[in-house]
Amino acid sequence: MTRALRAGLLAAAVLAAACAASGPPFEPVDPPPGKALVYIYRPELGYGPLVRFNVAVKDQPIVYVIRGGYFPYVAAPGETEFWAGTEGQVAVTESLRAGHTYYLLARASEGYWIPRPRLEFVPREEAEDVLEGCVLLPPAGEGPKTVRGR
Amino acid sequence: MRIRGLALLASVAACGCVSVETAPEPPVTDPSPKLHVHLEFEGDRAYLPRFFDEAPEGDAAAPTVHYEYQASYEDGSRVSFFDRRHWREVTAQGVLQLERPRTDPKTMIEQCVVTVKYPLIVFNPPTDSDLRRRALVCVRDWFDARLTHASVKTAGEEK
Repeated sequence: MTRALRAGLLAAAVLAAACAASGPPFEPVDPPPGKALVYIYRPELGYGPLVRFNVAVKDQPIVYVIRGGYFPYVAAPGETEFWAGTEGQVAVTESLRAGHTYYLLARASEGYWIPRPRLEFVPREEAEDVLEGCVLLPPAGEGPKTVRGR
Repeated sequence: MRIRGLALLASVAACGCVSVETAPEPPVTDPSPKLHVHLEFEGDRAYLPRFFDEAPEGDAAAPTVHYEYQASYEDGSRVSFFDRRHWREVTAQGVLQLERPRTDPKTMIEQCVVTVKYPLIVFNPPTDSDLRRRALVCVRDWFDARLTHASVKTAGEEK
């Protein structure tokens, strides 16, 4: 193995390790009265670990998802579309009901130039184990302005 | 110049390669409401069968309608060895319960599947939201067609 290849592999490993989320561990909460709760989360392992993206509702970014992180989003009941984008945009809609909890899995999938985001509502049983190992991410708040291209 | 050439080549290659299919193909329906009902429904009105209209409060003769819908998703990375496209499938299902006073409730179920196939070079294929919308409208239209057919049949029998 050449020295350059070794250095490249080491740099990739360091970058991948440095890109995981850090913060308080997962703590379950109940949806506030009259509201729905959506856990937006990204597993620690998966495709495209270096790619990060905002998950947004309309033009409002909710959370900048980093692998191993989650964010509890409190939403008004009704049809709500969540979207994210890198080289292409994805969007998924769910009919949110007051008092219910939803699990939105955000991850990266194969893209042409760079990995593309992928959003998917999954059942609680599928999300729970992964969420247990996630840490709380800060709200997107002051992050970069998200403008939807479509 | 080279980048523009590549972009042009990409757009030509992508042209016409996104296919969206709905099964069963939704029927053409009359959107005018025909039955006044009490609605028990929490979703988007755009997906409610247009056969129904809200009955005035206190109308004891009006039937009650419970309507629920849901969508599920499935995908794959290749259609076949020769057709290297991604595909995504959305299945929408609606469950409608019509309860007339002093009769047993009647339950109806309709289902539509919308499938999109696209090559990786397409950067903005239809989203899950687009496919879900299409599938739920298809389900609504099938309910409209079925309810209209049933009402015409009943009217014919009464004559």
